[in-house]
Amino acid sequence: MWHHLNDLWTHNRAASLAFVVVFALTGVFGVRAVTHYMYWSDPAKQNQTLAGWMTPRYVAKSYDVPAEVIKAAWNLNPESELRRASLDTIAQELGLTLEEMQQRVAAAAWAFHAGQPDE
Amino acid sequence: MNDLILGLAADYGVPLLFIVTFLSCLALPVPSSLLMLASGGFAAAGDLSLATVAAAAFCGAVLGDNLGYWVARRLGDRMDRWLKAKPKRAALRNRSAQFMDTWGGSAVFFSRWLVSPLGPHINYVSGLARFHWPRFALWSMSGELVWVTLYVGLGYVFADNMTAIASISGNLSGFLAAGVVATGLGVWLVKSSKARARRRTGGTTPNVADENPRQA
Repeated sequence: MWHHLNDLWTHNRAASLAFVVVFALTGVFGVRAVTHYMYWSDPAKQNQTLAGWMTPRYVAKSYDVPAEVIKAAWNLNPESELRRASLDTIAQELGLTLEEMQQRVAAAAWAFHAGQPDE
Repeated sequence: MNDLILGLAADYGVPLLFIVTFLSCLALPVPSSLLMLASGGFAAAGDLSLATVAAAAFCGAVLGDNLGYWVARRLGDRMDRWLKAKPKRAALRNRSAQFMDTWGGSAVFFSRWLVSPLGPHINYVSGLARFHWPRFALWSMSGELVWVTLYVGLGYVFADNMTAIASISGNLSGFLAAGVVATGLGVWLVKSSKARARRRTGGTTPNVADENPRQA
């Protein structure tokens, strides 16, 4: 065993180091895949916080509410369709921060689901 | 970087997906898998059409694969004399050809989706090795079909929580790619060490084995 390692260190030093690094990377990715899976399996973590890349329709889908709830929460025109734009863009137009939008959506979604009969 | 690209996905939609999958097949560091997940999620939310998303990702990827292949092939042909001038350079090309002889279609197919971070490099290796082009194109298309279906499909099905699916699939894909590279390197190291041991004990293995254990 020791003899082999010594041989590799003498003749294939770069490749041996590369192997150690890639092997370690495999472990890191593997552990992260498992821990992230366990983290997200917890039902308490299911509701995503709003992020700048999301679209209004995506938020409606993620929070399981109709488009009207989103329009009302952000004071959008109830007559027009939700359009495809990032929340960063929309936040700028509305003069709101993402946190404010988040709070309003969370409250509106909670109120909406509270008013729904249990399925 | 990732959030920036995803924000652009919301604002620019399908054309961006096409460009990013195209660039990713040329080994440019763009988060194409993540963008496919997000576009699948946006399709589920009703922002994009699922068929258009799938078609754009597929066309971008196949075009990128073939461009990578032909750039490497033409460059390899043009630098023929330069490649042959030094044994080390010639060995690089021979090794590419040997690799493609052994693994060929399956290397192209599985590096599209199962170990997708290796995909662009396999494109270049295939071109350099002058791997039969129709076979390359066929395996590339079959593999990209799986890749696009897998990621756009995952994004569509798990649209409710894209943050979760993106972090899990990203790490899983890294795990598989690093695992394959580690295994390949490990096998190569063991083989070359054994070849040296054989030579020391008076075997007749030729000298080239030190450079390339496949020939031993």
